Amino acid sequence: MRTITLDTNIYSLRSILSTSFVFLDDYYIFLDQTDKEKITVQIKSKEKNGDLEKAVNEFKNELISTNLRLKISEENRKIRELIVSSALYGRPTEKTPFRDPEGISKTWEEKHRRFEKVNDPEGICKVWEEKHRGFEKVNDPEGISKTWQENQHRNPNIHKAVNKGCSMANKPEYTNMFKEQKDGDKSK
Amino acid sequence: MEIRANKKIYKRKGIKKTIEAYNHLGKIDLSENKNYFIVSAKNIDKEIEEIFKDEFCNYLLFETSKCP
Repeated sequence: MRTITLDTNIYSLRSILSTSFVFLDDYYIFLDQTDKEKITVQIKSKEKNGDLEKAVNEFKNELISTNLRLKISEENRKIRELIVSSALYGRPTEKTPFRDPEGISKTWEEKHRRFEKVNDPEGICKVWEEKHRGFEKVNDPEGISKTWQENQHRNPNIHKAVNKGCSMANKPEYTNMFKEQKDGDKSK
Repeated sequence: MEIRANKKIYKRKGIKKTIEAYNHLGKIDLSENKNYFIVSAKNIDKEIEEIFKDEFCNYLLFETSKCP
């Protein structure tokens, strides 16, 4: 039989119990607390020729592993409970509104809209058309950038040559010429 | 035969369950002092008397681990 003395300031009782539980199949384990901060672990092999030295070393390694696992588990307890509760009960509904005091769920534009007017005096955030709308009238006196329909009211004779055929269509002599041809065809 | 289980480590509920499980092997009594539960076992078969204490302690540890 081998006895190990453990400091409870380093290893919690829970981690010692969990580690002992792992060794119950192959060893007899008995715990006692002789001092306020000391716990003794008595390990006895179930086999007659069991390797106790190896068992003690494995026990120590397992104890460190268990102690660390329990510490991490305790540190992550809140987030684990949050994940499980959201998985069981779903996302917050209108009855239980989603709390977002820091606006993490908002987009950048939603979050910084009120700062745009203050921090963008030169209008860097604006598109080109918004920014240069006032200069179009000054820099384009002939209306080159405008469409044909937009320019027609300003200079109606500009496309006279193109529309010559259309203007001729309004004259009665021009249209009668075609009528005569059609009548002639009928007589034939 | 007497087994002394420290109150700071072993739970009363675990000891009671262990005694229930091993009660058919002999007469088992429970008493206590300030720091220890004292389990007294009598009329245990001589063939199992050697391992009775060890198995009882292991089962006690198992039941204590289950207790919250």
